[in-house]
Amino acid sequence: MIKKDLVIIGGGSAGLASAVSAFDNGIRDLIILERNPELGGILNQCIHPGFGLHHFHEELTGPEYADRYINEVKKRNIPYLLNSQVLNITKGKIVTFINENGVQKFEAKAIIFAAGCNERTRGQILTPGYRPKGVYTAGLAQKYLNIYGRLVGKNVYILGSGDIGLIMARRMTLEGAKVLGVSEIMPYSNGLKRNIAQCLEDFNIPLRLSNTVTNIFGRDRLEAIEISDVDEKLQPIKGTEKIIKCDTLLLSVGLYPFNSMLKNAGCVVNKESKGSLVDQNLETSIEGIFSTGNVLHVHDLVDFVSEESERAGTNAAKYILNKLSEVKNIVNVSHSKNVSYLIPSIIKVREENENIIFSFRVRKNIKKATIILKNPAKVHYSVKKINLLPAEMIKINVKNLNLLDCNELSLEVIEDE
Amino acid sequence: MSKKITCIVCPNGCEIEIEGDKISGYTCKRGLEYAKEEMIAPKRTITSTVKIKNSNEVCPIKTSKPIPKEKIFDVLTEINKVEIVKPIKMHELVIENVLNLGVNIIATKEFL
Repeated sequence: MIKKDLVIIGGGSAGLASAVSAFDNGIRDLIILERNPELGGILNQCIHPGFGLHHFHEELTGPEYADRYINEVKKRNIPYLLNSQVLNITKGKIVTFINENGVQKFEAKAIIFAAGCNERTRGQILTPGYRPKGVYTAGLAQKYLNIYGRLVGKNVYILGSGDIGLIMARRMTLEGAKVLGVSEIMPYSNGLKRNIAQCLEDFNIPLRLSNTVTNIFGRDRLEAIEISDVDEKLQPIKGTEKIIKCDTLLLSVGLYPFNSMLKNAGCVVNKESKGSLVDQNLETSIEGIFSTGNVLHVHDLVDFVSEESERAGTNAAKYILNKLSEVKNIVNVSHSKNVSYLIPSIIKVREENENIIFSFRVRKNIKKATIILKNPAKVHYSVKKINLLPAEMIKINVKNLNLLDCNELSLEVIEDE
Repeated sequence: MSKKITCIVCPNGCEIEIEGDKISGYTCKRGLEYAKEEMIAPKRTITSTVKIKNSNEVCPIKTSKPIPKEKIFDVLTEINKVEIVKPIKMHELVIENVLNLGVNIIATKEFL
């Protein structure tokens, strides 16, 4: 079997950034496995601007952002295989994949799993009605339009106000389709505020909050949908039904980490983020398997995917080169109820003072909050933040945490008046 | 008369309030510039795609600078007339000075 120091699964934003940083930290025997015919992942179909403001301090489109990292990978001659689908990963870090040369295996010292996320589908949100042509996930419609130049419909309705749905509302409008409206089951949008402004308000596309699709009509092609308002328990309210004639329904109803392969390998799952459970180095419960990017938790900004993945690459390199010192203490990390997930779940304390990045989301809008890190005896860190939204991941970078005598650490978001 | 706008300069999406010549709510210089321009002559950067000869894929493009909002659909009509040929370099010129707006249409992806 061919041996590799590092196998990186996924050649999108996470895989590319982790490959570059692993290389820069001394790893030479590495390879990227990408299932698509090109590197860059989902960035290739995100042709709109808005990427890179944090990382490159300028506004780039998705393909431009990908190009920067692809160039870095090529400059270093980091090898990659395209059209190569990983089939299986084992606890012993054997990666089985298939491409035009057949089924092959690599035995890796370390793996960085950077496989991205999937879109939730109609089946997952259980929309009743017929199953005609014309119902697409927003990202699939985006791929057809932005990669292949094919517009999937002319009269479009969008369910879900996540960013992909909003971006597609504008994109299809620009290509000549009539976007009739966007329904959001929650009382607030999960998309960025600027996307509501520049994708919907610019084109007078109505956004209906606390509203959802309750029926789908059409035996062959989609002919109409029924929308209804929902109550606080998200149940449709009788008497509020409205029929909208359309030929296309786009679903932008959330993303979830494409983590099944790591789960099958035996990595413990973080039930809240739906990715793997990781420590502060982004190492999963299996030593030497790291997870990063949208397969770990769904990010709103690619800039943060790149940052996280650079950390994964650096840490994987340290692991391979035996540069990680001995674990002196293990701390379990929990969070308050108004936090929907938190990364990391555990901290392996190796140094007296650890620098740790915590990423999390809140469950509801909070105007003013104090975020604290504490164990029962001591508050280790405290910071004030304003305008916390479920749609925006919060990242705090905590320096010099001394956790040698601590078993439990809790992150709490306290709402301020 | 006051008007509220959402800043589109970065993902923060600040709510900016404009009351006469008083502008508040922005948190950076670019936000202030955006708010001023939005009141006088709103502009947007436009991205779309152009056909590539003998390919089943299309090439993503963008306007080199923001264009006046009311010209968006006219510019798109021009973009849809174009067919380009491989190889395509990153930021290759696709349309020069589109509709005399002083803005170029450029490719945002490389095709070998």
